Amino acid sequence: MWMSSGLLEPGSSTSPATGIREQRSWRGRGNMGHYIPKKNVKRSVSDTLTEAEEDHFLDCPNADFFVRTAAFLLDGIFLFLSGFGLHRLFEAASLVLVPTESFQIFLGAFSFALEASLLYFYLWSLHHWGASPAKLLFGLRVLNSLSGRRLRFSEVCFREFLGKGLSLVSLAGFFLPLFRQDRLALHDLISHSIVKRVHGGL
Amino acid sequence: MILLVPVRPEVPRPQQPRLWPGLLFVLILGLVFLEASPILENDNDYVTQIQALPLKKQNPVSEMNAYLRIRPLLKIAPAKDDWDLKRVLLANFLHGNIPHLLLNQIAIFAGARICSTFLPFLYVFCIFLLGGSIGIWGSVVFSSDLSPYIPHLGASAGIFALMGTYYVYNFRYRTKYFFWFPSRHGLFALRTSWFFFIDVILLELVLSVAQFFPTRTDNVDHLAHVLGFGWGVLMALVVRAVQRWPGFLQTRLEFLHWSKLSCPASYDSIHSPIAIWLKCLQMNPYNDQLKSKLCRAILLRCEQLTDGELAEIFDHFCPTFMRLTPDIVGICLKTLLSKQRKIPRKWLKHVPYDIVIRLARTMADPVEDQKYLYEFIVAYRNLQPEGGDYEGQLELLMRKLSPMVVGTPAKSARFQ
Repeated sequence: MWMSSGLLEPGSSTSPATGIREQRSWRGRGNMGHYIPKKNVKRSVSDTLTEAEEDHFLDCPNADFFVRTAAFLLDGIFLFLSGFGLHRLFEAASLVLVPTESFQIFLGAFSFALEASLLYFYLWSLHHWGASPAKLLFGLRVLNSLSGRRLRFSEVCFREFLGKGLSLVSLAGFFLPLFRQDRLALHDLISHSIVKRVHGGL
Repeated sequence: MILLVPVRPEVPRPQQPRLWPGLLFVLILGLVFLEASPILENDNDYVTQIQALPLKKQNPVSEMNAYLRIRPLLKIAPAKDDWDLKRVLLANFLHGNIPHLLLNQIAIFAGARICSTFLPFLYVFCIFLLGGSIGIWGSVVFSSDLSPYIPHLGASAGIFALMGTYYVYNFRYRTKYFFWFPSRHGLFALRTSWFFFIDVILLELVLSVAQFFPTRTDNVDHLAHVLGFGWGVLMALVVRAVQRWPGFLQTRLEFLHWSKLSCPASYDSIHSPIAIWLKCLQMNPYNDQLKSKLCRAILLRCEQLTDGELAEIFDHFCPTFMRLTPDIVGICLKTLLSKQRKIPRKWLKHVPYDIVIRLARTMADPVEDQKYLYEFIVAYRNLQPEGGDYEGQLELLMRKLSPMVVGTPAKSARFQ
């Protein structure tokens, strides 16, 4: 039902680490209900503030197609420049240093490992900060649409590889936000994620 | 640099660079290309013809060099074994083909434009010409080419000299970049030191090493880029040292105002500098270095500052500054609250909620300071209208924090 309507049902969400969450509407203003902390669960002030921040993000508007596309392209440029730069560096290094075959293989493997690290950093930033570098610049956050939390690393990988892969294959998947009221793309629907515009950008 | 084009430093609209310096450079390069086109065409035809010639098996390289020595392009462009000062200077304006010209025109438009925020046009032109000439000369003399009669030409060494100058002048501040996305989202701000470091230093410096070997990676003159960049940096450092340009001033307008300041009759070592910094901030609200100086002034002189000064200082703490540097603003707030000073009301009322949480997070450690965190949240809550957007969230947050925060004060918050 939520896929066709584009709207999520009002409901509560629970988080084992922080206690039973109160009933709240999707639009989330006022009417916070009663907070009942779970016993024997240690919470820190930082955890509480993080939770408050994620609650606030849920109430922010969904990011529109154009700002999401801009962030996607800019991330692509960052990854391309970094990867291309590394590739050229190792190409130059292979000219400068002793070009034995085993050393070439080592350089190639090292270059591949660094480029894989770039990709890992991109995925890790989505998990840790809730946004890739370009999304951070534009004030966007990727959240779990059901719990309102940042995505787990496995969810990030699922969204970025399988979700965006399907969007790419179908082509129309990327353009769904133009037509849906909730501005969700195909990879968002598959991975239960949502992209919020939390501020106007840096 | 073509994918992410630096458009201008992040400065107020009246101080943004004008279009004409960049356009003038573009025009000059275009006119010189048109003028040199016949020579370039003749040179292309000549090289094509000599490449088809059968060479003697005994010494084909020296025979080829003998042919290349008399190629038409060497009349106007320098090569390793055939150069002079005039041709080195002229080479800054020559280009081999239209794609080469177009790419350099885009780059020089950006480079000349962004430098004109800090320097007059004549300085910019001199840096371009001298830096470019040094880069081309260094490349001609030190790089290893397959033949000593391969001409070196292009404006890119001079462009990198301009980039080096800009790097020095705007190192601590942000640059607006354009990445060819056709909307306002295509323009975004990034700290100058990050991107320039990656683009120029890492890539060009290492790639220039490869130029010492004949089997180079490409036909791009990386050595000229690095030498040009180095010259631009050196020139900028020298000019700034002669001008006595303070590091916390960004634009030329601020510097001109600063340089014309005279010691006031009633000089106060605490209030007078703050008044001057606030005046400079009014000229350039994007100057985060000045805001950081004012934060340090709050940390050191909290008790001596007046409520009016504090209000004026906090008015300049825009959301971007607070998002980029929440730690220092958080420490300022903690200092104010610990010294029983008032948080400026007008500023606090308009702080976005996500920033309030970020600032609160900076006060979560150590545990003894958490009472200030709670006091800050209460102060913010009291200023929000009844039934406002964040009333429920704030109430819930305060209820969650109250049993956790050590020494939670029940008193109402202090604000102006």
